[in-house]
Order: sequence, then C-alpha cells, then structure tokens
Amino acid sequence: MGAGRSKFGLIQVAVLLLVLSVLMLVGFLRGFVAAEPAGQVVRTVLSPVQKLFGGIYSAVDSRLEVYRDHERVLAENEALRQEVQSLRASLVKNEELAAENARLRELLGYSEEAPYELAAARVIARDRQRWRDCIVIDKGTADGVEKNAAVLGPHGIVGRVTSASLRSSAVMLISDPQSALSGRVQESRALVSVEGSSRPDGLLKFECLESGDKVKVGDLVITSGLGGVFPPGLVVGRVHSVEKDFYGISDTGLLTPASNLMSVESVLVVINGGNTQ
Amino acid sequence: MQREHLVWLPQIAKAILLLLCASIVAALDTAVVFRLPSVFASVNVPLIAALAATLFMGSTNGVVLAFVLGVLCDVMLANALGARSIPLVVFAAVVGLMEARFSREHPLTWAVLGALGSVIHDILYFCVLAFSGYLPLIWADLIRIAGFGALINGVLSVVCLMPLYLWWRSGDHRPATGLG
Repeated sequence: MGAGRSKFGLIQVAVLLLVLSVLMLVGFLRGFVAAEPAGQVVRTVLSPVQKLFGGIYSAVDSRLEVYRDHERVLAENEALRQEVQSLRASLVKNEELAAENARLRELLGYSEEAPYELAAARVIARDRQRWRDCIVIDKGTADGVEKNAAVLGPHGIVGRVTSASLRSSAVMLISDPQSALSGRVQESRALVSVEGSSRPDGLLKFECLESGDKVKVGDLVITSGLGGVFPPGLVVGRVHSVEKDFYGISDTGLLTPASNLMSVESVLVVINGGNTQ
Repeated sequence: MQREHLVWLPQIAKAILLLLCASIVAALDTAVVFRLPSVFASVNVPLIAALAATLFMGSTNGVVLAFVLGVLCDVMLANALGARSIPLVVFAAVVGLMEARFSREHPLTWAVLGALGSVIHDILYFCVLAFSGYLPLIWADLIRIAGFGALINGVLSVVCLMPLYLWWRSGDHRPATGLG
C-alpha cells in the first residue's frame, strides 16, 4: 500500500517535471522562454568550478603523460629544439621582410589596416556527445566579448559567440549543424555558403553560389565578410571533395576545417572591430 | 509557530544539497568528459548520477535530480532548454517504477541498467534535438553513438555504482522515506 502510494507520487512528480521540460523546450524554440538571464547567472557561478575541474584534469593528465611517454617526450624535445633553431632563422628573415614591407607601404602611401583586437581564451566546457558542436570559453562580457563575436583558432576560424555572460561565453562551432557562414574560394573568388554537419569526421558542407567549375579539390576557402559576423580574409578550410549539385549547375562538396575543431583547447576572440553586426 | 517553520528546514537543506550535487555533476560532465580519450567520451555522468540518486536516495529524489541536472547542462552549454532534462527524467522515472523488480546484488542488473539507460537517453535526446530542428535526423549517427555509449555506461555502472551501492547498503545510509 505504502509502496503503491510512493509509486503514485513518483508518477505525479515525473509527469509534472516532464510536462515542465516539454513546455520549456517548446517555449524556448518558439521564443517565449528566454534562457539568457538565468543562463548567464548559472554560467557565471559555475564557470570557476568548471575551470577548477578542467585544471585538475589537465594537471593529472600532463603528469601521467610524462610518465607514460618519457621516451617520446625526449624525442619530441629534440625535434622541438631543432624547430626552434630553424624558426629563429626564419624570424630574422621575416623581421627584415616586415621592415621592407613597411617601407614600401610608406612609399606607396598605404595606411596600416586597423587590426581587430583579440582576446585569448581557454575552452572550459564542451557538449559531451558532439551532436551539437558547442564549447564554453573562459572569457565573457567583462573581457569585452559580445554576442556574435568571431572566434578564431591557430589556423583559422572556429565559430561565433552565441551567448556571453560575465566571465564565460558559449560558442557555436562552425561544424555545428546550425552554423552557416559566407565564404569565398581564394583562387577563383567564387562565393560559397559553408554549413556545419554532424559528420563524425568533422568535415563541413559547402555550396558554391556561382555556376560553373569554380571550385577544385585543395582550394583554400576564406571568409567573405558578407555575413556580418566574421571579418573577411580569415581561413575557413580546404576543399576536400567537389561534386555537382542536383541540377548539375553549381559545385557542392565537403571542406576540411583549418582548425582542428575536435580538440580545440585555446581560441582567440575578436573583441572589437571584427563584428560588423 | 517557530516549530512549524523548523519542519521545512530538512526539506530546504535537502533541496540545497540536491542543487549542489547537480551543479557539481553538471560541471564535471561539461568540463572534464570531453577531455577524456575518445573511447571514454561516451561516459554519461548525468545519467549515472541520476541512476545512483534514484537507487540510493529514493526514486522521487532521483527524478528531481535528473530534471535539475538536465536543465543545468542545457543552460551551461546554451542548449535548447529541456532537451537534456526530458531523457533524464524519463530514464529516472522508468528506473524508479521498475526498481522493485530487479536484484541489486547482481552485476548484470547494473550492466543492463547502465546500458539500457544510456540507449533510452541517447534515443530520446537525439529525437528531441532532431525534431527541434537542431540536428538532421541521421540514424547511422544515433546507432554509432548510442551503441558505444551503452557499452561504456554499462561497464561504468557495474564497476563504479554496484560497489558504491553495496557499501551504501552495508552502512544502512538509506533514507527512511526513499524506496531504495
């Protein structure tokens, strides 16, 4: 009898919470329920805890890594030492080239393009199953991060800020199925639309917006700046495969993102100037 | 009059404890699991926590924890509100309703609970995201992710939860109100 009553109570609570969840979901999708004010508070309160857990994991993992791969670390150390030597040599060469470039610009009367300001951020959280590609970074409105700010990796664009709270921000990666951006093939200058996909290999989908053979395998795709979110000229990725669309008019295919989106750990956020929206 | 107020104190303390537990589990799930090697990336910490709460602290507490956990995970990752709490609440409620029918001393029970729970959770979560327009409905993705998740979470359930439960039972930590 007691157990039966408890089960009845359980069903009542479960149905109530389930209905509440469905209402929240429907409200959220239709725009009646705004998750932002509460979400910002929760993310602000819990981001130090996330940073702490991430820090503990990284510290433990790096210790274990040293013990596991002692030999590999030694070999890598040697290789890195050689790389540093060669980079030092090329740095000197680059400095000379930069100085020459500046002199030539001055001669031609070009003014330096105003560069956008960047803030370095670390990834503190990510969606577990990667069905949705969303990360949380440790920089927020207190650091100048705004909604829709472009987020860059070491080799190209990573995503855009979808929600910024005081000390952390949620970033939708360009591989998320909801993500879309306007790009340009560097060689042919053809405009392409780049979309995320839920492919396990992390490749992006693209569709050329111009007819004809404008895209080749290996072509570099950069941002066009037309979408209003990403500044122009940032590397999106390289064309992995090309095929004709259903009507045989324009090119579609897959793109390998320039940044490794599967294991992104540190990013740069464009905190002013880059966002034209 | 004062005593009437004091009656609510344990309930408030329990609610705060539940929120604290949910916050820690959600932070752990979002901040650590994605850093694990890809073999362990299917570990579903909120699911395991909801299972533990349902069987250790009573089914109603488990369902409430599952709901709070789901909402926190959604909010922390700027996901659609409710997308994660629906599968977790359904899972905790199913376990709560069926708990009298299985033996908790048998490892197979824990393996089946972890694996089946993971499959139910993944199917519901995937469907919620797909029908909300967040994802294209690609069944091959679902089968791959849900199959791997079932294996990992089934093993985790036997290796971690069962010993914890046996220790919990031997110390008689069970709450008087709970079914567990």
